[in-house]
Amino acid sequence: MIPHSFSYLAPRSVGDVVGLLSADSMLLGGGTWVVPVLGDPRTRVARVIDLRHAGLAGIEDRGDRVFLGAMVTYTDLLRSAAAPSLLRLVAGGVTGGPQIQGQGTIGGSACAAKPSSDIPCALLALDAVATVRGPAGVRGMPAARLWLAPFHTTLAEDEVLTGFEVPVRRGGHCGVAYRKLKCGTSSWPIVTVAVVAAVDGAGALTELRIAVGAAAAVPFSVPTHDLVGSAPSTALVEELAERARVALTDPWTDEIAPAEYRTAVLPTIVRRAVTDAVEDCRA
Amino acid sequence: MPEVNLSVNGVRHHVDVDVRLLLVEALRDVVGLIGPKIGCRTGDCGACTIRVDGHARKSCLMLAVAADGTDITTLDGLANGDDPHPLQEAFCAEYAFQCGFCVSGMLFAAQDLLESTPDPTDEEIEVALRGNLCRCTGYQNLVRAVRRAAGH
Repeated sequence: MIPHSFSYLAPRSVGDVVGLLSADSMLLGGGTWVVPVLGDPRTRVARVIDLRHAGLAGIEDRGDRVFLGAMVTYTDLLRSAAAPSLLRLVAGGVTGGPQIQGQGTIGGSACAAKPSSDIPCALLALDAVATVRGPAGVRGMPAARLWLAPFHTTLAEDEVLTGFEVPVRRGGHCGVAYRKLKCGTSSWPIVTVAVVAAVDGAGALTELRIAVGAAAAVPFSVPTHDLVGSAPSTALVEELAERARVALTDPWTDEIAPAEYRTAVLPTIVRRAVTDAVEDCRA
Repeated sequence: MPEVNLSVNGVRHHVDVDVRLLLVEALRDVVGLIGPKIGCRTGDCGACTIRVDGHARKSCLMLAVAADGTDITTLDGLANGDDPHPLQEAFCAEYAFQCGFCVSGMLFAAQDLLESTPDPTDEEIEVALRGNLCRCTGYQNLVRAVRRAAGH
């Protein structure tokens, strides 16, 4: 039993959710993070707002973008042809097995902001835009600005994440890759790398986005803008591994791995992920 | 206390629950079914696994009050009366039960797998069972049992 008392509310619309938000409320998505947090004797909340009936579970094809509701689960992603292929790749391997795939939500993972979660890194690589609703209305916020610190987002206390808009990549030869290093199939990752790439008919890169998760307190991008237009090569892969190493300025430490270990293994995981993405472009 | 309507192993229950109650606690202490176990309370071990609306779920990660209107099967309801489920028969044949604490997670995860992948490889079985910890470390027997249930 959860040690402290609270009131439970299950509003039927996002508008109703916003009306209930306050500093002492907590939003409940799939429960995989929030329910154990509620069980911690140090947690104090006045009300738990369950998003299950708020209409945030849809995946919507919007032409050049796909909208993923905050309550979309990993299983939903795996079953949807409209879901970005990178997110389906991520969904197949989340920590906790098939039960968690059916329970955990992308919005919940994004808001939990756990450094070793898979979803934030993947959303960053996809250049996703978070849709946020508050008392003043709806605003879009690039994923790059969503994570403030471990377990903290930049959302205000009276705002709710309703979903993500992800650009749809069509034409040319697109490729994605997701690599992670972890101790066992059910353990949390030590380093994750997501890559989104595209090449033109001549084999030159027209897009290259690389995001790194679990290595630092918040996910970060590897700078690649000046490399668009070049052709994938061994030298390019080495350059990207080096840039990732330089970009990791504040490595994360937890019970799984110390900062030194994460720093040491990051370039290898970047090499593997970039190589996979280039192969996927050519497939 | 709010009233919650649950269908559990084919029987309808209307129960008053404290909002602080986890679903696994409601099933064990209010409904009286002790098939789902309480292991970690953090979603790691899988011992509390049940089937909710046709899919395996960890019931320590659900509030009982949030399960209103769901259709639940627990380990207690997996067999058809006195006839064990084919997965239970395979688990017996391959000595996969051992202490029995993890079997809810193993059986329901295996059931989900075989429904979507009737002829899984050993790797697919291992991946499907990865959300469940066996404290007897009987993983080889568990994989063999699922393979046997799949008919090979």
